[in-house]
Amino acid sequence: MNDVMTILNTETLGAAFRAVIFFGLGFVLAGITQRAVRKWSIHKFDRHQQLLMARIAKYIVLVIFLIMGLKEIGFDLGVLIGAAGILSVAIGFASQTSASNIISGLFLVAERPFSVGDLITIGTTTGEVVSIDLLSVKLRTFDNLFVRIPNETLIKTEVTTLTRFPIRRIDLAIGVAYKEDINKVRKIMEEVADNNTLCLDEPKPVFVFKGFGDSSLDMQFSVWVKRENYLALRNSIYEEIKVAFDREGIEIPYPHLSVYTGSMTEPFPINVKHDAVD
Amino acid sequence: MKDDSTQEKVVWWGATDIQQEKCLQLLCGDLQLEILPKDNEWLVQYQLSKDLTVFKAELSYIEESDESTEFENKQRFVSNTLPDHVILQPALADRSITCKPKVTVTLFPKQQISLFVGLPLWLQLHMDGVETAILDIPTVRISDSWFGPDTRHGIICYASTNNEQLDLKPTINHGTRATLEVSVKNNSDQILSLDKVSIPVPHLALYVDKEGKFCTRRMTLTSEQDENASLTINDVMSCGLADSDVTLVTKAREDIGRSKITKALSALFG
Repeated sequence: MNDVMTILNTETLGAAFRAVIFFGLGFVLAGITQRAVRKWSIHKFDRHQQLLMARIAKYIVLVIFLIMGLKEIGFDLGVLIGAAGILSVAIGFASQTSASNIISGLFLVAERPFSVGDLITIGTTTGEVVSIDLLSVKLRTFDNLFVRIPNETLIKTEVTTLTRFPIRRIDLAIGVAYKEDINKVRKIMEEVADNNTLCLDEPKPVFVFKGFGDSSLDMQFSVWVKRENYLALRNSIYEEIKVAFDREGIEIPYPHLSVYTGSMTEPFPINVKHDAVD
Repeated sequence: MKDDSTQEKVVWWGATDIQQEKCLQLLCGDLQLEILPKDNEWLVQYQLSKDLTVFKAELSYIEESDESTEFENKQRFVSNTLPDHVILQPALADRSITCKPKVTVTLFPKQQISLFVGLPLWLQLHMDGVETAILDIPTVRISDSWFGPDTRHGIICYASTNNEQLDLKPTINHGTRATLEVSVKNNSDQILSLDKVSIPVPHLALYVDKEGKFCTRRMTLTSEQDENASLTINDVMSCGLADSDVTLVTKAREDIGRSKITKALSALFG
């Protein structure tokens, strides 16, 4: 009896030991494979593809070694797959959201609306894409917050990729007083754009007269900029337009209201009375 | 204030001594650059001003920088052992430049014209023992531009200013620009309208003639059939200068590889 137990223990222990070796080796080799694939793909693919390929390679190695380890401790793979089939129905019901996110993630990978490193806006959140994972996309916002957005949300909602194209347009909303000469205002703004080296020469700035506003002549002046210089130009050009308008005596009005007693009359007369104060 | 012992060099580029207690100043185009040697460091400061515009580069030693001048850009280069000289290297732009003729030029099929451009210079600072330039800046205020058929396809390049405009006769070379002759051939059966041209400047080497004026080799842009265009850097110098009359100052930033590059027509002609 003791001999049998010894043999059993020796065999079981040996198998368990080999399984542990396989699991450990699997983890180490998976890590090495992930790094190797990352290194190999660094100049061939974008960051998103690099991450994806490295992860796939890692999980393939892990699964192979996991199966080898399980076989060592006597697991029948056929039974495991059968059990997985039954389990998948139960899991399917229990994890509809996760499954939806995984499938959405696959669509995102195929469609590639953005990559790791891109700046995107989803709803009210704008940030840099840190990673695109199976269930979610992780963003780092400008105020250094970490935001996790489920893949399903990304498939359902509007996503704006701010860094897709090398150049961007800045639309400046400008209002000037009714007395001002629109043509002169236009020339001043074009001169400001000309003198700002961040402002692209081509495509040319666009001037749009938008109409007669409540207190001002409303216009839009659109300039193009390299996407890296977007903020710098947005800040500098408003300041330069204000300086140029002040220099040329162009009035930027604040909202005001004129009240008349009739169509052709003078405004209300105002009499100031000095009451005796006790 | 300039020192009485101010030395002005005709050839301003190359190795230049750094003198203790003196500030090395270079004025070139719109650029004002100063190098102030201090203990174990050089303070390099520069600015580009449209009010400056020096047509002939001036290199001099001054006592102290005018304190009222607040430079937009400052950089300190620190080392235990700084060399006693710095190498000033004129170069050409690191990106393509978009040039426009003053009036649109229309070139009939199977015709050829020569246009002339004054390319702005870049300034590189080199130090012995450092492989790359420690500073690489334009000598003129230059805007960015976009060259391409639409806002999705194209390249970021520099915009031409009045001085870089294409002209049918050689432009006046002030010594702070490099003259490039662009030969445009229309080999297609269509009329070629030259509203703007993209000059791939990084492929050009910079030469100087005996009078100290900069120039490059001639470039030929050919409009081929099927909306294709080719670019060739010729063996001859711009403006008919002989090879014996010029000296190589700076090699091209990017080797053209082959003698001829074929691109889509829209990549060279706007």
